Amino acid sequence: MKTTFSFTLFILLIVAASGCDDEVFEATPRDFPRLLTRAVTEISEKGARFNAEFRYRGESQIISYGFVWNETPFPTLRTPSTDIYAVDENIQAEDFSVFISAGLNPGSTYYVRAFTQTQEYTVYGSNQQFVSKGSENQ
Amino acid sequence: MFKHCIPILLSLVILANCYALDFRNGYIVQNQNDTIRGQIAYQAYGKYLESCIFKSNGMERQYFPADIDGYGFDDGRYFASGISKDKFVEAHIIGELSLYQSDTTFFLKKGAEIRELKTQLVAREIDGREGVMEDTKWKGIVSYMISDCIQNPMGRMSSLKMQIKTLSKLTIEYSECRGASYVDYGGTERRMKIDVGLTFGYTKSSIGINNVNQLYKESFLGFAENYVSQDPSVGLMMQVFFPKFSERLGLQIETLYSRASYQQFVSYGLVNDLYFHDTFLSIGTVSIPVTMLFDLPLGPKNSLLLNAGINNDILTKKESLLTTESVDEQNRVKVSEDTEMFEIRGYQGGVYSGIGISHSIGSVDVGISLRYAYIFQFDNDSGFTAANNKLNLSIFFIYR
Repeated sequence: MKTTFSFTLFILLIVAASGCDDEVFEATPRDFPRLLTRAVTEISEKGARFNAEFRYRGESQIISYGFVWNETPFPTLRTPSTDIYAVDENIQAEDFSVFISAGLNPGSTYYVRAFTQTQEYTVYGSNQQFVSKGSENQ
Repeated sequence: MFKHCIPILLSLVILANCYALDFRNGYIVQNQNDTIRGQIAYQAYGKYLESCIFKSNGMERQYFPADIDGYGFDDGRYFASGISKDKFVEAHIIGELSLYQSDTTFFLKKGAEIRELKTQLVAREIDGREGVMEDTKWKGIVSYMISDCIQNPMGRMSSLKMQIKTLSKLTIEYSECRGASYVDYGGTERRMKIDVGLTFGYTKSSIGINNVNQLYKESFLGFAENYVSQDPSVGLMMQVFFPKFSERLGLQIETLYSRASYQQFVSYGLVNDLYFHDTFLSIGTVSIPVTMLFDLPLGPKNSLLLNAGINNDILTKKESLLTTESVDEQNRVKVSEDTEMFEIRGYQGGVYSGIGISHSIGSVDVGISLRYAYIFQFDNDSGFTAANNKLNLSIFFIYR
């Protein structure tokens, strides 16, 4: 009887403990935001959606943020013939995205990176690759 | 792994056998059938059969079988003289037919007649070939002793085994058949004692990375050498004692659940770039330590508990994450994709030891314990070794 009671109580405690929210990784504070480029979604003949997430936003004043994309890997703001989508705003949200409906050629492979600029740093997220199905406006 | 345990286990066994006597409430029965209450030294089973150390009114004296009829503890155990030559024997049933035991030998007593039940293997020739078989003369003795009341005694012998449980049952049946009273000293129940309980505590675990292979040195620049986490834990505890062998030394099996997360930040310069790394480990663990337990009485209600044995960790969650950013001379930051830091093993082995004190409150023992586990099979990576040191402080409740 006492064995059954203890075992049942133990299982209940484990289930209760397991049910708690998973720990969320929080980046250690640093002088610049930590920005991740997320996978491209909603790929269609009309365009594609680019996604990004701040894993660490910090206290820095953000001057601009957005995406750069090109048919060559690791595009930057200074890479020749790179397309840029930029917003000049001190964004406070944890993530941002944009639906690109122009300039994407069907069948072409593109490399996308999120970026953000502060007074001191230009931060580029990792490289995300996708095959375009085209866009509404060429 | 076991070489770490052996010295600790040996120490426990030596302690169990060498520790100064403690006394439990009991009585002696003198040859004039006088009973004197007092305290009897708690000893190893074999010593109980040789002599009894009795303390009453501050006087301590050792009694041998020739000195007294028997002695007993308040918890039920009774040792009688006059059954086996120069030895006490443990009484299981005393009645019209009585059952006693000394080591592996049983005794049946009816009136003044005492018969010894002993089993042994004897050589026999069967179909021209030499073989061994059990000598079952003892069954004939049992059959003879019960034949004046129990129906078909020989028929009962085929399934009879020389065990406390079956012999006690038959002995009681005989007394009931004769309409006589008997005393059951509960020998069956005392063969194994299982106590269960719960523990609640706090675990400080420290993962250390060392012995990094020279070829991997550069890859491990992002790893800190030590990761620490402090987390609550909950567990189920089971203690198994074999009083025939020792009431102090037992087996303790626990299941302990805890969740831990570890994080470290590392930055360094390499060529013209600065590198920043966050390392993050998230682990859910069901620990199953299996230990020898030494229960050392500290007075009538308190005990000192010592454990040593092996620890088995089964990981219900194992995540490791390494983030990397590099900053060049123009303050351009390149954020890399998150990667797995290293592969954590799903099963981890180690050694375990503990010390605690407990206090009896009715049928519950309440205590506090400090336990240490060293887990040395933490990862699957060949480039380094990682070990986890766990220190746990718990309160526990054991239902006796």
